[in-house]
Amino acid sequence: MNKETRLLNKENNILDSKIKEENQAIFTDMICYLRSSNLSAYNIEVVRNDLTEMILSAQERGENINDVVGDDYKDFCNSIIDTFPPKTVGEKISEFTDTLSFSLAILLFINMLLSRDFINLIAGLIRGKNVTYSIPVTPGILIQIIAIITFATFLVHVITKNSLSLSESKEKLIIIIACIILSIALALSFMLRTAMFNIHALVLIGLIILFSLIHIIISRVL
Amino acid sequence: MIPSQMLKGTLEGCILKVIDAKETYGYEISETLKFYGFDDISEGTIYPMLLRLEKNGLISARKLDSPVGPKRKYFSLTDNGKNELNNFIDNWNELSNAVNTLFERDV
Repeated sequence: MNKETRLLNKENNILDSKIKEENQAIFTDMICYLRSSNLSAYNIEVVRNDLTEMILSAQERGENINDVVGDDYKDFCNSIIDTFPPKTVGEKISEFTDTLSFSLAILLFINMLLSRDFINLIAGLIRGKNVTYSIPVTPGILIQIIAIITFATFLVHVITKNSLSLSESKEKLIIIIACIILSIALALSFMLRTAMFNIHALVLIGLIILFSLIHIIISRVL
Repeated sequence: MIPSQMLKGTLEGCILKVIDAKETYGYEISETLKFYGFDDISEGTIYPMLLRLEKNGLISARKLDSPVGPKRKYFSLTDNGKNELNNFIDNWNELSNAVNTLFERDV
């Protein structure tokens, strides 16, 4: 998120809190739906700002969100989406790279902290012993990382894209099925513990820093 | 109620006309349109059109304090908007003349 978008996002967060509970659920669903669209992060915040202003003014007049946008929220959101140009291929690639880099940085960091070899390495360094810097990478870890990123992406997509149309029961069913698939993938990852190759601890730390930097740079530009 | 298909091509021109009269905001535009007989036009109905008009450079917007609630977005016509409005008026006169002539005669 670039500086302009971040500032608008901050202002919107303050304004949003003034929306009454009776209007909040629909408003949140609409913003979720807009987030799943091809709108850029900045345009989403611009629209969010306009909608918040409309709803707050309606509240002042004793009206609710339906008086402002009508009953067909999806149609209203689609007519907004149609007024903006879709994301370019470059923007889509940047967004994907940003999400992937951030996810990899976090998951590698967690895996590193939970790795027995890394804990032994730190403990050895503290005690001043001779240590091995090699950290084994198993197929399980790779499966786990791929499964978590795929699951999270799928979940966000289902919830946002269908926020204005999917029934609660269907949404729950999809989430349960996705959770079962994720559980199988994670169980599998714990079973596959034979090391495929070793990685130097400093290389691993370097990769985490690199992915974090890619995320920071892209998110400041987007 | 005017069918939405009939409204489609004319509403943007009417919005330009309302904005041409004075710098104004979304809710006031929808209320003005209602006053002139455009029933069922809410602020939400015209919002995407205002976005499109602004994006096409026909209107410009600025945020001003509101006596109630948060800051409002006030719209005014740009030079391109004035030209577009004049074009709309010419086209509308031509169309309404043709339609009126047709309906007044026995075909």
